[in-house]
Amino acid sequence: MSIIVTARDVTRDYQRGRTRVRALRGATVEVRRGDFLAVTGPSGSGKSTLLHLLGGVDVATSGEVSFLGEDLGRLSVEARAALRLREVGLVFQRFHLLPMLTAIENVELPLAAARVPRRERRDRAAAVLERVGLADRLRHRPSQLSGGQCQRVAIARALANDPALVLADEPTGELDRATSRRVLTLFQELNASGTTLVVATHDLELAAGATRRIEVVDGSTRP
Amino acid sequence: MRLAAALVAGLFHFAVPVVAASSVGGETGSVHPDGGMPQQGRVSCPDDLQVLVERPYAARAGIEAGSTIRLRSAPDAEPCPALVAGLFEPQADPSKLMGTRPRVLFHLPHLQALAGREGEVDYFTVQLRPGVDAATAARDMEPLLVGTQVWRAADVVDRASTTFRVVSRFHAAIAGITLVAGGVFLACIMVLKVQERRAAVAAARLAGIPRRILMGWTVAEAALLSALGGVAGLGVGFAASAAVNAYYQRAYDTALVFSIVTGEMVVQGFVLAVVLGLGAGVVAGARLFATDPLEQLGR
Amino acid sequence: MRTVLTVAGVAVSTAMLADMLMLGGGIQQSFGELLESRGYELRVSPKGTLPFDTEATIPGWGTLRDSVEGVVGVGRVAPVLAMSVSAELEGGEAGGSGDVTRTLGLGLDAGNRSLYEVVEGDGPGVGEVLVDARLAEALEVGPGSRMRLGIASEFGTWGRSASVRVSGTGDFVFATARDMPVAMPLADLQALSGKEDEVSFAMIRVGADADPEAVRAGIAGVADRVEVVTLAGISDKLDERLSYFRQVAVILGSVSLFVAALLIGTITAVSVSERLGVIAAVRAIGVARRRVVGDLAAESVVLATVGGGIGIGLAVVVAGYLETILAGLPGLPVAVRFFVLRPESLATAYGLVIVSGGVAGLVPAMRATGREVTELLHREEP
Ligand SMILES: Nc1ncnc2c1ncn2[C@@H]1O[C@H](COP(=O)(O)OP(=O)(O)OP(=O)(O)O)[C@@H](O)[C@H]1O
Ligand SMILES: [Mg+2]
Repeated sequence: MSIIVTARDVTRDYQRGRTRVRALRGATVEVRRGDFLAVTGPSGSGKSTLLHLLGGVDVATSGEVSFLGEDLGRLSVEARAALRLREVGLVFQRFHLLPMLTAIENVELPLAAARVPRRERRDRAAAVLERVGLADRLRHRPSQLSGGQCQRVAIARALANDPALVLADEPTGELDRATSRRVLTLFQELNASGTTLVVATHDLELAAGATRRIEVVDGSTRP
Repeated sequence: MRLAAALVAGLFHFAVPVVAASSVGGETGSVHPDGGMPQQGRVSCPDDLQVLVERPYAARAGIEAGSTIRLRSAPDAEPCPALVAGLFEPQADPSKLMGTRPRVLFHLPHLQALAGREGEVDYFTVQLRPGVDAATAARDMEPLLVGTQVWRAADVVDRASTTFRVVSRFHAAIAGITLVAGGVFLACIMVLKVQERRAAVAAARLAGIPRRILMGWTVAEAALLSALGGVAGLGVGFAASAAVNAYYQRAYDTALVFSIVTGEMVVQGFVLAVVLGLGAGVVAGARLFATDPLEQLGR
Repeated sequence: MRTVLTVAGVAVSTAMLADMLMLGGGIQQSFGELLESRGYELRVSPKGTLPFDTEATIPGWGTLRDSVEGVVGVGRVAPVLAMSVSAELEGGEAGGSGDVTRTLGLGLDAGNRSLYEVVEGDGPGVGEVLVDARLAEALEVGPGSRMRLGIASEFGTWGRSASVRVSGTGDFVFATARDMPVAMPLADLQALSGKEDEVSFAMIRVGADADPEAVRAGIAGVADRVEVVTLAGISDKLDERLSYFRQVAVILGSVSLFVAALLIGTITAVSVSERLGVIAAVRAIGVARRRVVGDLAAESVVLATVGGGIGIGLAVVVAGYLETILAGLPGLPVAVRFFVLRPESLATAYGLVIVSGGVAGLVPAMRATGREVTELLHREEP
C-alpha cells in the first residue's frame, strides 16, 4: 500500500500578539492510499492544525511533512497552492460555498482554477454531483439548498479534481444527526471506491464509521 | 487737497500700459445729461496735473507717490506730464474684479481738459434728502433732464452684481448635487451598519422588543452619525472658506470677501445633515424590518 | 440594496466628475472654436483691451489701416466699430413708440458678414441695419421696418439719432444674453457717433501661407499703439478671467473622484470581510491569490462600470442644467458653452472612475488575501 502523506514529529506554533500558542507539539501520522482516517480529540487540541499541515495549507514549525514523497516545508506558497489544487480536496464545517454561484459552478471552481477546458469542466462537475446524489440540483444556489445538500456540494467540490487525499474538518458540525449519517454513508461509499479520506470530528458516530482512528490530545497524537 | 472723481470715460495711456478713467458709483442715483455728441476738442495739458493711482497697479508698475507719469487721452495724443499725488486703495467693487485695467483719479477739470471735453460729464450722482423715495425721484427727474436716463443706485448695483448672482446659483446647484451624493453615501453606510447587526436585531425582535423602538434606535443612530459628520463638515467648511478668501483676496488683490459662512448656513447645513441622516436611517430601518426575524437568524 | 445605493452614489459622483472635466476646458474650447469659425486669425484692438471689452476706440484708423495692409502676409482687414446704441421703433403717433432699447451697435465694412448669419432679409446697405433676430422679435420689427437709432453711453443717451431701415435679421456670433446687436455700415455708425476716423477693433485675415504669429509681430512692429493678438492669445486671456471655474472644476472633480472611490472601497471592504470564510476556503483549495484578488477587484470594477455608465448619462443632463445657470453670466457670447460635451472628457471621467474603483476594490482584496489562510480559517471556523 502506497503512502500518501506522513507527518513526523511535527509542531506548529502560532504567534498571537506577544504570546506564542503551541497548537501542535509532536504529532506523527501516516496516511496510506485507501485510508479512511478519523482524527478525534477535545476542542482546541490541534485537530484542525494537523489537517492543515497534512494538506499543505500550512507548514510545520518543526518536523517534516512529506506529501507523495515531497517535503512540503521546502515548497513555496504558490507551489503548495498548486499541489493542493491537484492533489488535495478540502471540506469545511461551514461549507464555504460561493453564494452567487450555482451548485455546479461551485464544483467547477477548482477545475477552472486548474485550467480544465470549459466543456470537460461541466461534464466532470456534473458527474461528481451525480456521485454525491445531487444530479437534480445542479442549477440551485446554496441559499436554495439544505445544509446537508450544501455539504454534499462542498464534498463534490473537494472531489472535482480527483485528488489523492480528501481532508474534511468537522464536516457534520453544522448538520443534524440524520443528515450527518448520510454524509458518513457518502464518505464510506467514496472510500470503498478508492478515495483516501482524513476526517477531523467530534462526531463519535462518524469516527466509529472510519476504518482507522487517531486521537489528538493537547497537541500530541495517540494511536 | 481735494480730488474729485474723474467721470469722463476715455482711455489714458502713460508709458506703455493703459489706465482708464475711473467711474465711481453714486450713493442714491445717477443722472446723465444730454451733453450732445462728445467732440474731440482741443487738448491742452492742464498745469499742475495731479492724479491718484490705484495702489495694486502702482505697485506692479513701480509707481510711487511723487513719481511723474505721462498721460494722454488717446494713443496718438500729446502726452501730458502728471504728478502722482498719492496712491488709493481701490474700492471693493465686484464688477471691477474681472477687469484688468487699472484706474487713475483726476480732478474733474483736469480730465475734461485732457480729453478735450470741457463742460462735459458722463454722469453725476445725486444724494436725495432723507425720506425721499428714490424710484419716485428718478421718475420725476427724468423729464426735466432731456436726453438722460436716471438710474437708482440699487439698479446700478444690481446690474454690476449679476456675475455674482449667477455664480451663487451655480454654487447652489452644485451644493444640491453634493447633497444627493452625500445622502446616497449615508444611506449606503447605514444599510451596511444595519446588515452587520442583523442577527442582534433579529434576536431583539424575537425577545419581544417592539419594532418601533428598534426602528427609533436605527434612525437615531443615523441622525447622530450624520450630525457628527455635519459638525466635521462645518469645520472643513470654515477652513475652506478661510482658504478661499485668503487665496482670492491675494489673487485679485482686493478686500472683497468671497466666501462667507453665515449662521444661517451653519444651521441650514446642520439641519440638512440631520434630516438626511433621518432619511437614511428610515431607509435602512425599513430594509431591516422588511424580513422575518427568524430568517435573519438563519444562515 | 447596498449595490443599488453604491451604483447610485458612484453615478452621481461620476456625473459630477464628468461635468467638472467638461467645465475645465469647455469655455476655452468653445470660445476658441467660435473665434476660429470667423476665419480671421488676428485682432487689432486698443492697447490693453480685447475686442468688445470696452468702448475704447482706435483713432486715426485710415492711416493705421494703410500701414497694417502694408505688412507682409496680411490678407483681408475688417474693421469694426462697436458701441452702445439706443434703438426705438419708428412710426405711430408722435414719431416713436416711446420704448427705447439699449443695445450694441456694430459698424462693419461693406461685405463683412463674419459677425452674423442672416436669418431673414439681407445684410445692411447704406442707411440700413440688420437686427439681431431675438431683438427683432422683441421689438416686432422685420425687413422693411424703420427704426430710430441713437448713441448710448454706459449710463445715458446722447442726442443725435438717425432713422434707418431694417434690411434683415440675423444671429450674431458674439451676442451675449443681454446684448442683442444691430449691424450697420461702418461709415454710418461713425457718422452717427461722430467717431469719423475711429474703429473699436479690426479683424485681420492672414494670407494663405503666412504664419499668424509672424504677421502678428509684423503688425505690432508698424502699429505700436495697438494690441495685436492671435486667437490663441484671446482664448488665453478669457481663460485667465474665468480661471475661477477651472479651479472649481479641479477641486470638485477631485472630490467627486475621491467620493466615488471611497464608496466603492467601503462596499468592497465590507463585502470582503463578510466573505472572509469563502475567501479562506477558496484559497485553501489552492486557487491562486492573484485570481482571488482579481475576482474581488473585478466586482468593484463592475460596480464602477455600471455606476459610471449611468453617471455619464446623468452628466449630460446635469451639464445642460448647469449650463442654463451659467448662461446668465453677463458679457459672454451666447454661443460660448461652459460645458462642452467632448467625448474625451466623458471618456476620461469614465476611465478615472473605473480605474479608481478598481484600485479602491483592490486594496481590501489585497488585505484580505494577504492574511494567512490558516488564520482566516481559524477565525471563520468555530
Ligand atoms: N491561526 C491561529 N492563530 C492563533 N492560534 C491558533 C490559530 N489556529 C489555531 N490556534 C490555536 O491552536 C490551538 C489548536 O487549534 P485547532 O483549531 O487546531 O484545534 P481543534 O482541535 O481543531 O479544535 P476544535 O475542535 O475546537 O476545532 C487552539 O488553542 C487555537 O486557539
Ligand atoms: Mg478545529
